[in-house]
Amino acid sequence: MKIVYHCFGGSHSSVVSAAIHVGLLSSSRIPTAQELIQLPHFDKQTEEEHGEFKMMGKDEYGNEVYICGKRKLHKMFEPMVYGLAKIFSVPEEDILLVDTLPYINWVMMIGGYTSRALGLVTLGRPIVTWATRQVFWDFVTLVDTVKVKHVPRVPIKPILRGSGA
Amino acid sequence: MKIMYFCPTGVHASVVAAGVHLGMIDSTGNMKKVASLPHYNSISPGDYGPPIYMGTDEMGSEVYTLPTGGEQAVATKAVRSFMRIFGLPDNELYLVDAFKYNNLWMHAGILFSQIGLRWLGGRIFALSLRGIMPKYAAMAGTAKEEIRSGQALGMT
Repeated sequence: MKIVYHCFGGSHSSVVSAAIHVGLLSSSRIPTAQELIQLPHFDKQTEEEHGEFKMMGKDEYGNEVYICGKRKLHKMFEPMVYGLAKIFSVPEEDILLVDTLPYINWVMMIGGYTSRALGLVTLGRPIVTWATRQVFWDFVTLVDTVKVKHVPRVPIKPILRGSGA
Repeated sequence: MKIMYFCPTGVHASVVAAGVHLGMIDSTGNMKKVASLPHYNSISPGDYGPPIYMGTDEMGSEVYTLPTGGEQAVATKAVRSFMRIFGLPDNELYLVDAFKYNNLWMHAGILFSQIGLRWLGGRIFALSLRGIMPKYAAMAGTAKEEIRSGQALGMT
């Protein structure tokens, strides 16, 4: 299964959620600002990259986890992607889209806008990083829900080594 | 091969382009014929999203419309990216910008439709096509020609 966490710019809420999902961030403690900044794609995506599905890694069951910045596609994004899946005969259970926008707060929006849209990284990044830490548990809850309710938990098959030679 | 004509709503310019492609209307831009195209001006803004199947052309290609809102570049990138992560070859899909001949009246028609004056919006949009329908015919012709000659790279 491919799991796509999507938000406006693919830089903050989707990145943090995907990072929790694949284990780049611990789900048992709030990450430091430095840990957030060091995440791949965190507060880094540019406008030209929006719309691209960027891989964040694989979870413990081998599911591929992606992030995507959908900009103003908003509620059109999921029907569009699920519609494409249907057209190209991709089985329904092979893709899961998770909207992380409902979990962000106003300060994240202001910080993210300042850093990404205005390009004032020095000002915006500390704000968005601080705000992300404030709602970190909401992202943990979201990822837990996704994993428990939607993600097939089929363990990766162990590699069986031949006994010969 | 699948062909997707895209425009902000997926039920206006893209339906017209797909209709021309499928031979449902000619290039005269008759308002009644435009208004009678399947799915034309049919969806309210809250329902924009999934690609709409319009028919299969004479080459066996499935023709769809795709709503992109005001984010054409993001939407087309997402489509291509989706195909890439599922290992679908790029040449399986031919994307065509059906809104590239937009004019003020088209925007007005869409606006009227979106604020609830759908009948009026649909008529204004259909009227806006007068004079540019040959361009839609050329657009569909180019798409067919490129697909037929195997030159389709998937984007126009």
